[in-house]
Amino acid sequence: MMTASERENLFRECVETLRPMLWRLTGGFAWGADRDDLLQEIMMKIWLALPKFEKRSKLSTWAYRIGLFTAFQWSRKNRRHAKGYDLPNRPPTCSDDSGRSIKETLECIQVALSKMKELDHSVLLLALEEVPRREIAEILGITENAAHVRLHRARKNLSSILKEEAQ
Amino acid sequence: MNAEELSNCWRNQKFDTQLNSEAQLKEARKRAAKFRKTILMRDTREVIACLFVASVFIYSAIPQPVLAAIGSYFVAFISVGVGSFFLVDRLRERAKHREFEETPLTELKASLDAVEHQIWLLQKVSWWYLGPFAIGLTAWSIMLGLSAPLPVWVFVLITLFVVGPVFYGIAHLNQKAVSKSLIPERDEIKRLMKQWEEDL
Repeated sequence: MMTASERENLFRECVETLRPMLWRLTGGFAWGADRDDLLQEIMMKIWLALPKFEKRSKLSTWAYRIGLFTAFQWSRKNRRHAKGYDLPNRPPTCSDDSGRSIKETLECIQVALSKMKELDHSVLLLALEEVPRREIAEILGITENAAHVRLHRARKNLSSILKEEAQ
Repeated sequence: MNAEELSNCWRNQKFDTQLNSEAQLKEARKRAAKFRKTILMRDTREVIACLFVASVFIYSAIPQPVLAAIGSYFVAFISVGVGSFFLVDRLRERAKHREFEETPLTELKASLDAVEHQIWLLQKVSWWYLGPFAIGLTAWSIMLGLSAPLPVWVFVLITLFVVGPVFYGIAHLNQKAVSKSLIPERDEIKRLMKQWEEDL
């Protein structure tokens, strides 16, 4: 049983070491003000789930899994509500095919991620974070080999979407 | 750009925030309290409504003749029964669903189970909610009629005339929620599950 102070300390650890990573994760699902809202939703879910953290996996793996699930739930809910009209904070569009700035490249990655299937989306996000394949497999409940194959396909998918977007 | 460059670009995103770890902890607690309050309100709203109906009928039974009072107590009993069913169902569903499942696919499966249960509950609203109340109110109007100088059918007719449109409205709203919101939600979860299963 986790004590209140253990819970608070673990949460502070999450904030200090993992929040930037979780914030980048939100970039794969939300834009503008929605991104901050999603991050706060993830931080709340982590706070609520902390008493159940059994330290069987690394804190980062556990927190990333919660972040990913929350982001998918959030994105599904938003998609349902957004049917029939444009999302107020929809992903930016890519226009240039060469000499992109870092900001433009990031926007293009976000556009590409928003067009991918959930599994490709997840694998690619984790790979962008340089999460080892073993941990990607653990987070997504797939084999290491499957993670490797999916990553290869997701990267190909990313480059073709980036090319399409640039045209 | 190769994979490493993309990764570097992604990881070099600048994260600006005004919230230090203490402020973030406070914010998470605040949101968690709001979230719990929303769940509590959702769980207790219907139960409170049922208890309110039960108390109104118990209170109204006091000055009534014996037969009419029996009818009122019957409606109060039905009301408590419906409220209890609602509460038990909510608690059972919450116990079934863990906060976070093992994998995205099991998480989707849990969401599908929850949505399907909600669809079942709303589609069967006539059985567990409106039906018992209709029986209770009809029995109450019969009992009221038996202890009054007017014929029983007059009381039954008045009750049906008042309650019928309200119950029809409730049933209609529930079916509309199922077809407009829950079935599309279920279909989307199924589609995503299929996608995950095909990809794995």
